Formats: sequence, C-alpha cells, structure tokens
Amino acid sequence: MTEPLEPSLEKLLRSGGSERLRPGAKAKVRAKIQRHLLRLRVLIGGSVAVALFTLVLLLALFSRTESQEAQPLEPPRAPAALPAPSSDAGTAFAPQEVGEEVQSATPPSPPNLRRDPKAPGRAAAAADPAVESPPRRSTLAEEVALLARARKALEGKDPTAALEALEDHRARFPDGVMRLEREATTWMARCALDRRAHAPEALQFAETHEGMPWVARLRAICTLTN
Amino acid sequence: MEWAENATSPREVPSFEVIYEDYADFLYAALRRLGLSPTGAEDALQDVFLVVHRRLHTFEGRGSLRSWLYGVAVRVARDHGRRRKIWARFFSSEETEVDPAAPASSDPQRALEAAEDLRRLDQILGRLPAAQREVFVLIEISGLSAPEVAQALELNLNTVYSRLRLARQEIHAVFRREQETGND
Repeated sequence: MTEPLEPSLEKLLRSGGSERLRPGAKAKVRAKIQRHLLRLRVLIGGSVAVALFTLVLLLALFSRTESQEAQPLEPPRAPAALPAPSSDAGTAFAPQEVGEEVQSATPPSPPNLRRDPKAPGRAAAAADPAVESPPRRSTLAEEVALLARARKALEGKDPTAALEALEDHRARFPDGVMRLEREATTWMARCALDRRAHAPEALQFAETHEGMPWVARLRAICTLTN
Repeated sequence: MEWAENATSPREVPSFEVIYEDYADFLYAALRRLGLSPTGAEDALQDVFLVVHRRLHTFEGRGSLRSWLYGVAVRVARDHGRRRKIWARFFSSEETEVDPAAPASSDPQRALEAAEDLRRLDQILGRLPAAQREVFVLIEISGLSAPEVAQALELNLNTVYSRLRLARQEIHAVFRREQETGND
C-alpha cells in the first residue's frame, strides 16, 4: 500500500489542477477551432464537388464511347440499304478521332491540380478522403526535413534559401504539425534579410507566442540594436 | 452553433460545444502539468478539440467521456512534447520554454504565490519519467480513477497502479529533499 501524501504536497497538487485558461484564451481557442473546422469543410466540400463532377463526366463519356464501339458489331445490313458514306459517318467510326474527343471532353484531372506549384499541398489534401487524419509519421518526417533545410540555410547565412524551403513547407503542409515553427522560422529569415522592415511584425508574433521555445531566438534575430 | 453540428452522438453524449465549455479549462490544466507552456497548452488544447470533433461520433458512451477526453489530451501532449524536442534539436539547446509572468489578478500577491506554486509543482513533476508523470497527473491532479486512467491510456490496470506507486515514491522523495534544503 502506498503511503498517504503529505498535506503540503496535497495542497500543491490541488493548485496544479486549479490552473485555468488565461482570460480571453477560452474564446480565442474556440475561435481558432471554428476557423479550422470551416477551412476543413470548404476543403472537403470542394473535393466532393470535384469528385462528383469528374464522376459524372466520366460516366457520360464511358456510355458514349460504349455506344460508339457497339455500332460496328451490329450485323451488316444489305449493301443497298447502307447510306452513301458521308463525312459524319466517317468520323463516327474513326477510333483515333473518338480518342481525341475523349481527350477534349476529359475535365482537368486531379494530377494536374497536384502539380499546381501554388497549392500542391491543398490540392493533394482535397483529393485525399483521409484529409482529416492526423499526420502520419512519414509526413512529420517530411515536415521536419523541410524545416531542417530552412534552418541549415539560415545558419549558412542564406535566408533566401531558407524562405524557399519554408515556402515548400507552407505549400505542402499548410496546416502541418510544425506550422507554428514554420512561421517563426519565416520571421527569422525575413529579419535576416531586412531586420528594420520585419522587426515590428516579427516581435509582435513573438509576443503572441510567449513561452514557445523559439521566442528567445526570434527576438535575438529580430530585435533592432539601435 | 454551426461548429457543433454532426458532433452529437445518438447515445446522449453531450454536444461538442457543451464538452468544450465543461472541459476546456480542466484539460488545459492537465496539458500544463504534462509539461506544456501556457501558449503550448493552448495550441495543444485546440488540437485536442479538433480530434474530439472528428472522433466524437465514434465515442459510444461505453466508457467514461472524461477518461476518453483525457486520453486524447495525453496523446496530443506527447505529440507536442516531441515537437518541442525536435525544435530544441534544431536550434540551440539552451532555449527552454519560459512561462510568462503570473496573470493579472485582483490580488497580485496571491497570483504571484499561485504562479510560484505551479512553477514548483512543474519542477517536481519534471523529475518523473513521462509514463509515470502521465499516470500521476491524471490521478493525483485531474482526479481520475485508476480504471479511468487505464481506459484513457489503454493500459493494464496493474500497470497504472505500479506507475502510480513509483511516481508517488519519487515525488515524495523530491518533495522531502526540497523541504530539507529549504529548511537548511
């Protein structure tokens, strides 16, 4: 049997359970959750719409192609009954032209969306039904690798390269686990490029995230010395 | 509210909004005692409730809602702890999370004492291995029962008791040492 806790220790433990969110923080966190859920809804709604649209088009195309392919299999009529060859009939049976029609009728496919350099992450997420799943380990490793690249560039006095890596991260993982660290590193890189221009906003960012492990470094890089 | 739609289960599980109102502060306190800074705990709390929103329909009321929520909180806290370690590895190791000053209160002296108590408590809890700390915080600070903790952390009940015993021994030892050095 374990010994009972000392009264002064018990009091200390009670104080640990009585800590509450800072004034206003409850509403702030609630607002953040609402924003996040709204973004997810838009993303999911958009992807469902695109998927339905694609499905309908593919079905329409498939049924059309099938009916076109079925026609030559019909038993040949008596030659006299055949109409004179016309340009219309020619195109209707020309396989390569059907192929061309298929191509032109196909809507922009998800892979093209994925290649959009502006929003590859979002497009990939939109096409992925598991968009709400928590990040997998490999995703976290990818995030970490991108941030490591940024850090290396910053340490190598190449803030532009750091910003490029951070932009890669932003595009691929807009709501990634390391998003806050990405933003902090972005301010560091900007300050390294032009401290005077970015210091006020960067320091504001540091202030709103007081207590995070990178705040001291951000301040050190962005604080104006004179 | 719109954000609470689709989040209620047919088995009389409270709505998402009610859960947020009832549990946000308690889960925040648990996240803090699990080692997160005030800002980090707020960030983690957001993640906790995103998971809750996503998974609430899968909670069928078979166990305690409270233990389910704390289980989510512990897992999120682990993730955030990992993030913090990754960050510390990237950048200089001397950077540690610093708690901001005590919040403003009508009684500044009392607020300062409360902040000092919390700092001391977190220092003591910081001596525990993570697995023991989780069990200790949930039972001794958040007030869950051992079976609830076993459910929350998906642990064997005996393991919970064993971790609790070890944690209490360590906490006692640290607390006594601290008092002895304080009395010297």
